[in-house]
Amino acid sequence: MTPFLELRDVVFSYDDGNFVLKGVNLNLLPGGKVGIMGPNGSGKTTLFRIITGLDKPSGGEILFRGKPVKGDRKTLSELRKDVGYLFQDPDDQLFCPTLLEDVAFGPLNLGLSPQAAREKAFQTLRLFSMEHLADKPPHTLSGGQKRLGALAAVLAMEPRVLLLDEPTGDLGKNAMKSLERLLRSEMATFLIASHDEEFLSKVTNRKYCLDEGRLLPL
Amino acid sequence: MEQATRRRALLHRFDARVKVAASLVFAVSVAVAQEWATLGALLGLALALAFFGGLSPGSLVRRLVALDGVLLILWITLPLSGGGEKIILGGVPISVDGVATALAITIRAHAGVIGFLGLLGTTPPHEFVRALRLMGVPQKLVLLLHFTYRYSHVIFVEGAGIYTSMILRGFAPKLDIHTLKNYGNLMGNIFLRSFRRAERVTEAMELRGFTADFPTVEPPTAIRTVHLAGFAVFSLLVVWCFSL
Repeated sequence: MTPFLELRDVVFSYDDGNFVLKGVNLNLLPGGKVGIMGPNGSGKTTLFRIITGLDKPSGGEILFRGKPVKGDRKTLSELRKDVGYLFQDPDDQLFCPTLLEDVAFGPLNLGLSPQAAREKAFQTLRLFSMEHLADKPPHTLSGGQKRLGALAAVLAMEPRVLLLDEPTGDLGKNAMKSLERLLRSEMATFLIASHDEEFLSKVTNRKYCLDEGRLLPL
Repeated sequence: MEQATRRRALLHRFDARVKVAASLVFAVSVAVAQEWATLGALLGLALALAFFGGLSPGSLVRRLVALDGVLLILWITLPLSGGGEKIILGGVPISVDGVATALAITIRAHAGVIGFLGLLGTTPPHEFVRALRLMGVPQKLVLLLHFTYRYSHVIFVEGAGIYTSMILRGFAPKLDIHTLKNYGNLMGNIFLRSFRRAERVTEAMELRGFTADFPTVEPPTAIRTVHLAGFAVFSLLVVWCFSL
């Protein structure tokens, strides 16, 4: 089976020569649920940024559905349709006047009509019982609501793979349960970077530790 | 600004586009009015807007006090520095033209602020941004206003966090170089964080398919006749102010 995502010897260093990733290898098959742990600054976020093309690797190769990911606009645009990336700080991802418009932003950019995008946004907000917050400006939401709102905004684009960077921060019990339910579904394919080992044990079937630039199985 | 008004007032129910257009008409009128009677009538109209916008007298006064602090400087400088006829008050020569200019500026400023509070204070920021977009204001300007509003809260919270940590580490502001240096560091820190955040927001937009157009799910709706009639009445009142 062709992996959704394959990283081959991915290396990343900053301009000052400081290596963050020193040859990372990883396969993510359809339905794969992978957790990545590691100390702060170990390169978890950098790894996600490289996968989504926000940063260019210094070496190695990334393959999406068997094809090498190039840095051109067309390839990146196709990749970003299929790979949803939840940032660490939800305020970075909620930039529209209302939550509804935020969740509909991606679907509209994918070419859905305003009516269809609106329905899609409501449908996604319902996953987290947040439809009553649709008309709220994002800055008025609580930390947990913002995080789920940002996740809804990512999910509304129906990505095949999710990259979740510390998704459990600010989440209350109920919100955590909603997230767990979503991630435990058979179809969900994702990489999660988290410090929450208990959460990772519940939702993933493989765990790695990113330490000193290398991905080590746990 | 919106917090100053009660949500159920008449002007809250008006289409944001009508209020933006009325604000524009009012701002231009206040700026070009020359006659005392016109200025007085426009100030009266502004107070009527504040009333119909549900602006409480307390919050109106609080906002005007901030404005009056600036105007006070004009009242100190213009009467003393203006030309023309002078009257002696307590041995100090006071310029009549200077007093007239300070008074005209005061009326203009108060009319403008009160009118804007009545019209735009009853318009939630997201409706205001949407109205500008529907009225054909250039997208770059609309996005600039929108992002300024959206992230001012976030930047304020970040700045407050840094300031709290400064206080917790013994920072006690005084009128000295150390304080100024630390305020400079605070501003620099806020600027750098804002810059970094702007980059991350841009990346988040690109990841969700943003190219150049900022799409919206809200289809444009026609402005209700009663709201247009309200705008017509308002415009006629402004014209009447100029006939005085």
